[in-house]
Amino acid sequence: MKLTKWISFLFIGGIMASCYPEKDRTVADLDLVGTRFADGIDFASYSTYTLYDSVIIVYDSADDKPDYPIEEAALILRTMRTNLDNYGWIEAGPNDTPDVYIEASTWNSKIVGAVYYPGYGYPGYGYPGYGWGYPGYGTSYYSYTTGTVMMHIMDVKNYPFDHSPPIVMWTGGLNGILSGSATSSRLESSINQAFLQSEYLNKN
Amino acid sequence: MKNLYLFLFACVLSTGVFAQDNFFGMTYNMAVPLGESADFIDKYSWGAMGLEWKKMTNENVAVGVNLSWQIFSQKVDHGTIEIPELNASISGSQLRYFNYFPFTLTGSYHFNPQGKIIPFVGAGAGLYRVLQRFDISGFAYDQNTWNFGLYPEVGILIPSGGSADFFVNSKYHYILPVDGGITHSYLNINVGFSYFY
Repeated sequence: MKLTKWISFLFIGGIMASCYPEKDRTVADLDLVGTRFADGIDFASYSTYTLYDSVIIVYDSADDKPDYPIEEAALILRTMRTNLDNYGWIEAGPNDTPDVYIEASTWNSKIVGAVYYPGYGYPGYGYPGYGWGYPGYGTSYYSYTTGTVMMHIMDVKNYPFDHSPPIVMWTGGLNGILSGSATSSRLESSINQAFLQSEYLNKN
Repeated sequence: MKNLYLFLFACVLSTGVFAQDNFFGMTYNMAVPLGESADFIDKYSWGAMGLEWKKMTNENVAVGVNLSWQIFSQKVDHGTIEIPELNASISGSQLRYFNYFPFTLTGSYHFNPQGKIIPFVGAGAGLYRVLQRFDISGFAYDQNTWNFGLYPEVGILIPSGGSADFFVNSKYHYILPVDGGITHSYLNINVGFSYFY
């Protein structure tokens, strides 16, 4: 019966810990794309757009303004324009008033933290005096940088031009860990996904 | 003195009889998700395990308790979820999990208990600890509940002639919803060893 008790103990330990096996998760698996549209908007009634020709960079502080890669900013604008064109939107001319105004902004955040390993806690069965768990045996530190891109489509067609904030009709947000040379392709893929899951923007 | 010997003999004999009254089984559990559980995870589960103890009330009938643990997990690449109340859609790599922990009282009927193969049918009912996790791109949402559930069971015992017998059973778990959650169900296929003591 000794074996039985040990197996029972392992079983109860398993119940307490439960199990969430990670499935070979890669950095790209942490990319997140979210989109949202405002209530009461008839997207079919809008057809022309102006895309702001720069990506707005948001910094953590005024003292620390690292350079943002110009190629990446160009990639963001180029991919947005391609998706809008593919969905049948028409870019307004320089002197025309568009139906919507579109801009993109981006910022990076450095995440620093620590993970404390408390040791394998177990009820000390067969080892009187040990009680529940051993003392902790390690702390691991981590640091990574996440990049966020926000895209907004704003209503110009119905804007009263009274200095009030414009109505944001659509927001697309991308978030992921900046790592390795695949960042550009992941960024492009995420922007494409934002439009793909916003079928209501499609005029075709 | 003769009476004392008879008494001691009777004690030894009864100890031997009672020693066969308890059944203990350990199983390796596999499972197929069904119904709404399969809508969340449709992948076969290769783990984990079960413990079963029974008291034989007579040669055929046993009552007991069962503890088991079943893990389902699945990765969905680039899955999209819709949140209609927020006009929102979210895409990312998804990790989905179920951890089921049935704590049940059981009853079973063993056919042909002296045979080379002992078929049995049974049922169990009790509390199920259900841990459900939905993780999208590292953002995890948990729904952990205690549910009432039950199962019918069929199985066979194959006596080995030694101390441990071979043991196979199958259970259809049906877990009632709580807190507006889903009705969970899965079909177990379990293999393991058992012995009487």
